[in-house]
Amino acid sequence: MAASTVRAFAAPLDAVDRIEDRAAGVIEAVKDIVADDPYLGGHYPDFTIYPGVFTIETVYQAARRAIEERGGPGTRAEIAAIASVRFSAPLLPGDVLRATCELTDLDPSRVRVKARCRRGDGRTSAQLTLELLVHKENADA
Amino acid sequence: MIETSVQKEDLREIVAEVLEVDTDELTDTDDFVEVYEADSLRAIEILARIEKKYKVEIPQSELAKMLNLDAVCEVVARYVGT
Amino acid sequence: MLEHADIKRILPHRHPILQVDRVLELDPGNRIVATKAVTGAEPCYVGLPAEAPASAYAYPVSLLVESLGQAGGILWLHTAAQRAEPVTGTLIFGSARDLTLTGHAYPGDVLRHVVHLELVKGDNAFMRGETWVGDTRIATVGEILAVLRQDTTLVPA
Repeated sequence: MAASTVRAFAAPLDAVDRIEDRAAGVIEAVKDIVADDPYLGGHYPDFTIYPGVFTIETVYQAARRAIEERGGPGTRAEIAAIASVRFSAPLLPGDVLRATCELTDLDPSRVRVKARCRRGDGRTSAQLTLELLVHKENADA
Repeated sequence: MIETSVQKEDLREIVAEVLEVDTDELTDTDDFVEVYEADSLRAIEILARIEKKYKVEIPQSELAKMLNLDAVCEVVARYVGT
Repeated sequence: MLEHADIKRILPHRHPILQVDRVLELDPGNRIVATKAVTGAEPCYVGLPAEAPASAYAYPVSLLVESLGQAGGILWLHTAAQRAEPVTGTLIFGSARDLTLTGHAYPGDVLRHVVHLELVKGDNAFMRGETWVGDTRIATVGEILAVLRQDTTLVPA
């Protein structure tokens, strides 16, 4: 799926190009790292690295999309906690980020997202665990 | 001087927390790197937490030896209470 | 205490990912208070549909964390410079734990980060911090590990 759908919330960039694979509770988000994405020009002027926090953004956007699709119209998911995140290898332009995200319902309004992110060469670039708060928003739009 | 003894179970707790595993999962001889994918960040975190708990300074050069819980105990014992 | 021009001498980040505007207080080796004004003109708000609800304008958590981390980076690098300890390499966000979000910031709000430097071990700095908007704490982070990498591959071996 291409990122042609209009993103309806503030974000530094469209951090998911496609979601390629789905199993029960598992999604895989793919993001091609390109130097001309928003914000990357300042990170850094002399050489580009995909900022670590944008990996968090990739996982969040993928999980949010899955939860909102599952929950139907008006469903919103936002980050309530980042239990842990660690970055173990950099992502440079030309790399492909693949984030395998495991979604677990902690209770009806909380979803834990455990993600392992890999580069094209198979190396783990990051591991993180997020907690998302899920709620229904008044569909007044 | 305050007598501080190194308790293996305290260290197990520190290491397990950093490696995000249960304390009863972490054996004395599990290789941190091979079994739990510990990297240099995790290693430095373990060292920092030990320093904080025992109020000692352990040189980073000791990290190379701290590959499993038994080895951590050995290293820490050399710096604590001496 | 430190204005934007000073900050750019300390951090390698540049517009628009430079996420700290001003440093209000800096106690080397200990604590920093730094601000970042959120405005509707930032790239993260580009292209939001006209019918987007108010909640859509919450400042992205990723940028909030980046901003908090950069405040910590200023504290660490400024401390090292003051102590005449050589600082070389690229500043890297190594890891973070126990970050909880308890509120939101919107265009017009000013983020105020309070970061404490807990321990420096070689090229690694441990910090913890909070982010406030006015009298409301919107984020707390138990541990941030920032790292200086010497090699061009930036890989924590």
